[in-house]
Amino acid sequence: MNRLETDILVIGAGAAGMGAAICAANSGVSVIVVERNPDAGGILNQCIHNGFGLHYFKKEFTGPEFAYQLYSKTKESGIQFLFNHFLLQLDLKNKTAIFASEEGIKLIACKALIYTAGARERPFGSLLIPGDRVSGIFTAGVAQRLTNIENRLPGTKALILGSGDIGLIMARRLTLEGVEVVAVCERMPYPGGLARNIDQCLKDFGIPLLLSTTVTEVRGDGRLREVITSSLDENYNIIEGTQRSWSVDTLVLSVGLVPSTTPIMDYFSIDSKSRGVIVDNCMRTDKDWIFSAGNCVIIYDLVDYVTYQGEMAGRSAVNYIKNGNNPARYPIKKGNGVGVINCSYYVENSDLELYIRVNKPKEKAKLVVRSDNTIIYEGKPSAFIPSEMVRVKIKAEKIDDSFKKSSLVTEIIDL
Amino acid sequence: MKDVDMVCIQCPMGCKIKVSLDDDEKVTEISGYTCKSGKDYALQEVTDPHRVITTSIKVIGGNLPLVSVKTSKPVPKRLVLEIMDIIKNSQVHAPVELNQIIISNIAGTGSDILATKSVEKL
Repeated sequence: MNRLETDILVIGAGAAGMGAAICAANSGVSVIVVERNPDAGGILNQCIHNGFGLHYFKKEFTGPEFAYQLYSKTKESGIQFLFNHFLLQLDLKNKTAIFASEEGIKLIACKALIYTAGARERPFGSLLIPGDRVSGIFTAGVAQRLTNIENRLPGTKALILGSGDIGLIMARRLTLEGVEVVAVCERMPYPGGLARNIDQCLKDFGIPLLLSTTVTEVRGDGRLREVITSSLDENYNIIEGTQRSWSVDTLVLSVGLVPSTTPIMDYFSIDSKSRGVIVDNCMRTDKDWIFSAGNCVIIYDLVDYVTYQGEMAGRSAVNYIKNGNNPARYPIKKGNGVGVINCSYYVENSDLELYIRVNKPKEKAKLVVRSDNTIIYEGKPSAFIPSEMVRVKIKAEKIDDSFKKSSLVTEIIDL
Repeated sequence: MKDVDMVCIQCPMGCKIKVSLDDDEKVTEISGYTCKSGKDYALQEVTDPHRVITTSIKVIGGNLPLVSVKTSKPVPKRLVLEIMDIIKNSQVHAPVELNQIIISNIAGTGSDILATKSVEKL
């Protein structure tokens, strides 16, 4: 059996993993990054559109360019990559991860582990849509991979369910490649993706966006032939008589991402609802030597944010190796209006970086963070929508003065 | 007189910009932008909208069948489908280097088609 040792072991060579690895290696510790694909970059490699890196690099890149920029940085830092390796299990007692590789089973012992495995797409089966089980139904990421990497088109005439960013991006991508996109349907009364993508991906090509509309049946014999959509009322019940038939051979699903935590859920805590790894603001899990960042924690809007959080995990892992401390941490709770939040705990005496998604649109509101009844942070009044994540940074000094050592509560207050 | 409302596509912030035009289609007022790039975008958008195209080109003899590409600068929106046609009928031989010019001055726009990744020769 093949055995290796390293100070820090990173699982996953996407943006979070590379961010973590670069940050750690620059502090002088040894780093191994393990990746199941034959190359680094993760999902960035198939996201050939632009709009990446405006925060992190202060420059606009396509996905593959962003991945290349990060990977070039890892080359300067002496990080070792092991490609085509798949995580099988962890040996918590011996701080060892066990992988399957082309050379057989491989054991890697480490002082700290950083889990950055990204997310998976919610599949068709989870939607419980009645009808025939036919070919021609793809998740958006699979359609994207076929179109952008493998040079294969998913079909000739498509309907897209879900208006998240990847659904909108694929509407444009398929249109440019000659596929007729008949509509994008969204079950919510508001779009799931960024406003800019509604504009440049749908309006530019005259693709209709049907809100409060979902797919209620799929029909075909072998291959998809017909999709039935229906309008929904405010409680998401189907409104009878609104059925509409679309003759398409392709259905593309952009219905959400789920953190990829199946391989590790027995070893450290995940959120039972979101399935994301539960971490504190230093990206530490409930095991003091294991850290996590990126879309396996929560689903971010921007790869820039994923990279920042990866860097935080890298810094914290190095700090743990060098100082071994395990400071007290306190829960961060979701108050009114908060749908998704990272992180779940606050480590005393540290800067706090929060990523928050509201649970429904607000025309004018403000974000407040408080400790018991003392307000620690108050944002400027603004509009909030679920598709646009809010990022807030609060300095440790600002928190420490009024921190009651119980918990922090975040809420969105209507104005 | 007319007002044009738009969402800026320059970055994910999605600023809502309003441009007011007089009867000769001349800009009289512009508001809602938060950076120079947004202002430039809005002014371009009301005269002749431009877009960056990102797509892929067929690779011969590479370790991958496609290389991802982009226009080196925004091209007129009205030429997007024409440019896509040219790209669809083009191919490139491996190896392809990142930033390699695959088609120069596409459709006379002054914009080049650049590789956004490398593809190795098989």
